[in-house]
Amino acid sequence: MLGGVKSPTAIAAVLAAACGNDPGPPDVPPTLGETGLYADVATRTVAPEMRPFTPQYPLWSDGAAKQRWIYLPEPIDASRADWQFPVHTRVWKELSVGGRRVETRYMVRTPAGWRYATYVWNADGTEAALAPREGLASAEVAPAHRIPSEGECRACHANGATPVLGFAALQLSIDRDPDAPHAERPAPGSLDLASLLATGELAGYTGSIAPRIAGSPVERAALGYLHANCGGCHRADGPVAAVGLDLTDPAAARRTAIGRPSDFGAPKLRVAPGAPADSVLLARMRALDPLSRMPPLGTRVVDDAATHLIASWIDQLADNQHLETRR
Amino acid sequence: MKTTTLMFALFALHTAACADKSQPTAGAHAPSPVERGKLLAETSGCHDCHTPLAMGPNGPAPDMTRALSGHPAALAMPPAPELPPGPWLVTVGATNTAWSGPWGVSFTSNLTPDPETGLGTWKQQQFIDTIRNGRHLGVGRPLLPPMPAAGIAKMSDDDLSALFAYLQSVPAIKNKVPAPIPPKAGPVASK
Repeated sequence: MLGGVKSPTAIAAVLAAACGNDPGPPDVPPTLGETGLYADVATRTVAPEMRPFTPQYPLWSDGAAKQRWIYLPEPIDASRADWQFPVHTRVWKELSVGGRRVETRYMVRTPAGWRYATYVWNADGTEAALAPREGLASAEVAPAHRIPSEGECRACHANGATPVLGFAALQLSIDRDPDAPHAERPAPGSLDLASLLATGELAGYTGSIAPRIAGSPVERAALGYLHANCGGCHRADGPVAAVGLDLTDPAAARRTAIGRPSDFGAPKLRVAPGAPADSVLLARMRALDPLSRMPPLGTRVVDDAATHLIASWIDQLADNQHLETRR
Repeated sequence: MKTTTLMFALFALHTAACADKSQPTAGAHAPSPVERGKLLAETSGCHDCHTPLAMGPNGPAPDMTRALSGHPAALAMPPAPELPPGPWLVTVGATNTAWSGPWGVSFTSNLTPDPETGLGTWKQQQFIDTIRNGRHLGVGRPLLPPMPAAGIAKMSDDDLSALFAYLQSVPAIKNKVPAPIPPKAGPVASK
C-alpha cells in the first residue's frame, strides 16, 4: 500500500485516502508559484488576472516595501461598508527589505472560509516556500524580519466583518492623500473605485468614487493613518471592543480617543488636545517594550514619520478647541 | 517474518489513522465538556498559578475559596527585588501569582466568569485565539511567563472549548488583577 511513498506527508495522504477521508488539494500550496500569482514564475511575471492595488494609507511594517495583488472571480458585494468578497478570491502582499523580496503573504477564500499563509523567498529570489504555521523568527534574506504565524495572520484579518484589509472604499479612493505617511505611488493598472465600478466589480456600491477624510491636511493624514494601522483591531465589533476605542472611521476616532481617559496610562488621556507628551495613544506608538507597544503585531520599529504626524495633529487639536470656544 | 511484521505495522497504522478519536470507548462514561475541561485544567496546572497559595498548617496550599481568580487585587506587591548578575533570573510572590523576570512583572489573570474582572464577557473564540496566538484576546500584548501558552496551544479546539466551558462554570469571583509592569522603563516608554 505504501510502496514508494516515503515522506510523512505523503504517507498521511495515502492513509487518509484509504479511510475515505481524502483531504483534496491543499488550500495553501507548498510554493508561492502554485498559488497562481505568476504567469511565469521564473521571471516573476504576474498573471494579468491578478491585479495590483495600492491602498492610500499603507500599514507600517517597519519600513518594508510592499506590492499587492487581488484576484476577483466575481464582483464584490459592496452594498454595505464591510465588503463581502466572493469565494475563490485570492489576495497577495509581497514585502521587500533592502530591495530584496522577503515574504509574500497570501489569503484565499475557500468554500469553507478564509485561509492564510506566508511564503518565504529563497536567497536568490527565484521561489518562495510555504512558511511553518508558527512563523519564523527571521527570514533568510532579512534576518531582522520576522515571518508571522498563521495565528498572527488571523489575529489581524479575522477580526471584523471582512478579512481583506486595505481594499475598501477609503483606501481605494481616487482622491488620494498626498500627506499619508509612506504613501506609495499606485502601481500601473492599480485598481481603484473608479476602475472597479467601470468593470462592474463593485456590486451595490452607492458611495462616492472619491471619499476623503474631512479636516485639515494634518488631520486628514493622521486619521487616515489611525484608520489603517489601528482600526483593524480598535473597532466597535472587534475582539478588543470592550476597550471602547474605535479608530475605524474619523467620527468614531474623534469620539472615542480625543479627551477620553486611558485605562493604560491613567490618569492620562488617550489623546490630550495640545499635549502630545501626555497622550497615551502617541506614547504607545513610540513604545518598544512588548507590553506597551502598539500595534502589538507586525512591527518592532517606531514609525517616526507617523509619530511626528500624530504629534502635530494632537498639537493642532488645541487650536481647534480654542476656535470652537471662540465661536 | 519481515513481511508479516510490516503488514501488522501497516494494519495498526491504518486502524489508528481511521479511528474516530471523538468517540469514547464502548462502556466508558462520555464526559461533558465541563467535566473534560475540569480534568484539563487540573492536569495542565491552571490552578498552580491562577489559584493563590495561602499558608496553612501544612505549608502553602491553594486557597480554593479564591480558585482561579488570579493575583489578589488586595495584595499590592512591593517592587520586585533586583537580582545580581548570575544564573538566578526569576522571583515569585508567596501566592505564586506575581512573577518578576526579564519581561517585567506579571500577575496571573482572573479566569473566573466574573463579567467585570474575569472572563465573563469573553467569547469562546476569544479564549481559543488568546491561547493559540499567545496574545491577550488573541490580538493584544503577548501573554507573559510563566503562562505556558505554547504548550496549551497544542490542545485541540475541542479541548480548548471544553477548558473554556469549565472556566465559565466555576464560581465568579470579583478580583481586578493589576496590569503587568514592563521592565524598568515604567508603563509607557516615550521619546
